[in-house]
Amino acid sequence: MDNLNENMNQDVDKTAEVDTVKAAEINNKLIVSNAPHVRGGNTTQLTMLDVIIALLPALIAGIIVMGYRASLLTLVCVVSCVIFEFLWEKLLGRESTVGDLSAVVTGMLLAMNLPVTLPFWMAIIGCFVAIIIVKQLFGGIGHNFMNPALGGRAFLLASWALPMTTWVAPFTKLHIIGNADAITQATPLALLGGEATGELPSYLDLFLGNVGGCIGEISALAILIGAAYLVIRKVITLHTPIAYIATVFVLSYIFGEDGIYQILAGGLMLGAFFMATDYTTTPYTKKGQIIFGIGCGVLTAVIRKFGGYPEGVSYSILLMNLAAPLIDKITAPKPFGTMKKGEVA
Amino acid sequence: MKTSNPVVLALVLFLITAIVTFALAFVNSLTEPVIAMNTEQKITEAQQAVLDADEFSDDLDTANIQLSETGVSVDALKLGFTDGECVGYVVTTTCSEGYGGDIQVMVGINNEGGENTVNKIEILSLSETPGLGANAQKDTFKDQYGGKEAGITVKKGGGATGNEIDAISGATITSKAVTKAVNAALEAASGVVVSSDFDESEEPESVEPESVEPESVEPEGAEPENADAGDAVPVEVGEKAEVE
Amino acid sequence: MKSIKTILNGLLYENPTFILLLGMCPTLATTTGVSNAVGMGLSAAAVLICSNIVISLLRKLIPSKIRIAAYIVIIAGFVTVVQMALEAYLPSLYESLGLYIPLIVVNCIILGRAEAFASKNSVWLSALDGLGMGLGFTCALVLIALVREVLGAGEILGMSIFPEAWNFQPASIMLLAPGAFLTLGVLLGIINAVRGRGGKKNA
Repeated sequence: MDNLNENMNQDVDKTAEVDTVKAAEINNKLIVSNAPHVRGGNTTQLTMLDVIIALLPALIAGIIVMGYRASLLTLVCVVSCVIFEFLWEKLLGRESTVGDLSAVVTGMLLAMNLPVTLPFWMAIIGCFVAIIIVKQLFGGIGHNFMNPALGGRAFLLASWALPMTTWVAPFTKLHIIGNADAITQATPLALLGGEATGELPSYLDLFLGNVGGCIGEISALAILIGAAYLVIRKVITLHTPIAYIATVFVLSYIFGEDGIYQILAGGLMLGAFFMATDYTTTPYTKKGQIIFGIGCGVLTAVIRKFGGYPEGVSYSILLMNLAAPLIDKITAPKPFGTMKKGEVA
Repeated sequence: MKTSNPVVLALVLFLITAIVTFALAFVNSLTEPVIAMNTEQKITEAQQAVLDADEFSDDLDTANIQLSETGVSVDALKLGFTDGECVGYVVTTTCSEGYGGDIQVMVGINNEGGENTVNKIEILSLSETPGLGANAQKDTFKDQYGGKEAGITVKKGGGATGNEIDAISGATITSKAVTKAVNAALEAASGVVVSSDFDESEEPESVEPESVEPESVEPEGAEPENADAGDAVPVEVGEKAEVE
Repeated sequence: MKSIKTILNGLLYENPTFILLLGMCPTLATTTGVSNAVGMGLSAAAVLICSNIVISLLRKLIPSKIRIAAYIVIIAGFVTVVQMALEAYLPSLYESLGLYIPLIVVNCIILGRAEAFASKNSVWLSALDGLGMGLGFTCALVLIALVREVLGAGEILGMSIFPEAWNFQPASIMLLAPGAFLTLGVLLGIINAVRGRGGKKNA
């Protein structure tokens, strides 16, 4: 991200004798420091802020379709994540990093991976797992080995299978506070997988968001708007998402499924643009990112078609997170000037 | 000791192994009868629990039963009699598709007017996760099978109606395996043919119930007074003759 | 005195699960419920005490070159006895523990103590060491099982401990493999923190 312009500064000749007035002048004019000397102005905070902005369209779409409880659930998640991170760092006597907004992003992403009817206490536990166990216990930001939001979601799914797989029909009115009881409706992928009976939604329904599902995966359109913002702001590149989505598209046809339905339904869009592009847990070379994307795509398509679950995005990304260090290793760029074994200069 | 003499090494190892073997043989002789008795008692108790009958026949030969599904097998099949009439069956089946391995189920089946419905089930052997699949042992789960007919299906997420049962939350695999075992029991029972008339020279077409338990009174009425003592006749699935 | 010290060693200072980190496989697998944990712990303890005694008795007679083979035969013998006894007199426990009963043979605690202690100490002390280690193992298992059963099933010893009104929905993951690792990891972290290890330099 940073534009590195190597700017060689002159070393101040320490033996030069200058009187104090001149010293003051010189101190103002000549600065001694190590590279980099020109910074791009990017901080973690600014990057996270961009991600938050990019997530807003999908979040708003989720709130419109799923009701106000979605906004409350998101708020609960964000606040919990921030509080957990703050308390943990305080407990260990470390400097607080909540200012870098990464906990906020984790909270938003986790909330957007939950059904709107999930009891709040379960969501809070999910946040605990995401921030404390997946992120902080392994060393904090930059050191987690898998995506915290998805890790939290996987924990919740394994712990409370039924509440995590209960979705409501779009545009149902729900009670905001308290546990929501509403008529359930299966997600588009569950309908396809034969887990439930019902009419399949149309492409337009899937694209705009007239479907059931987790809060953030409702509207493909909203996600794409956010993704476009991220690309313009140079927060993400398109290697992973395109590789991911294209692989699922192609494999769907090979498996005899409707490719367009498969890429519009479920959490694929959300996962491909927002979670498979997380810096810490994905490869850093372009080649590696493409491999990562293809791997995720293969796993998602296989889990959806042959596995016991209707949706495979979270598990695919988590599994590829585990493989990311290996991918980095095999795609590591060779330093300029190195020779292959046996080559003579 | 610090010897490297292979003869000594071999001898010592042999001695230790021999002593251990004798000790085990001794313990085995003590425990084997107890284990056998336990198993028998467990079966007798379970039998009584799943089917309301005064007496039970001996085990029928189940070697030739063919089921429509794989992954499940019939271990035992008995008939139950009350007042001399065959009121149902007790079928023990094992499904190998449990989460933690085999699940053995004993199913009591009522036969009323030719219709086979489940009376009760008992799970004889289960190695599922406690808190999840092991909850199949709970009455709330087992009682669901009462009154169901062949072809029971599993419904996830609650709200089962008709010939469906609710899966245990978080333990669908276990629920499906138990259901498969019960369905197999129903299928096996549906092939049992009860007739009072039999021809000794013909065999595999129909099956006669075995002679009734020794301590019981000779059954009157429609029961096969000419039941052949001792011969197990193969059970054929699919054919049904009328009870005369 | 030495006897008490030996027992306390196994129970606390060199607890096989939390300090020596031996026998992890049955620890993770059989702690799904307190009754399973107690059953496994005591079975392993019984084998440990008996094998320690016998191996200590024979320590001068078993040639060094074949000692591992000899120990395994002896341990396997006792495990088989325990297995037969459980099948005959405690069939429900036998079924719940299933495969893990014969796996006691390769439980590192037993072979480890045979090699490290019983082969070098008197019969009395070896027996006490077996007792201490066995109890330490059992207590560790019960501790982990308590956490897992309460959080994963809302029960202790198969009985519900939360009032109906709370509508407590247990986290099933605690009864599965990830829950086992999580519980063990967190407990180890807490114990290490209390002992003052890990990260910071301590005297």
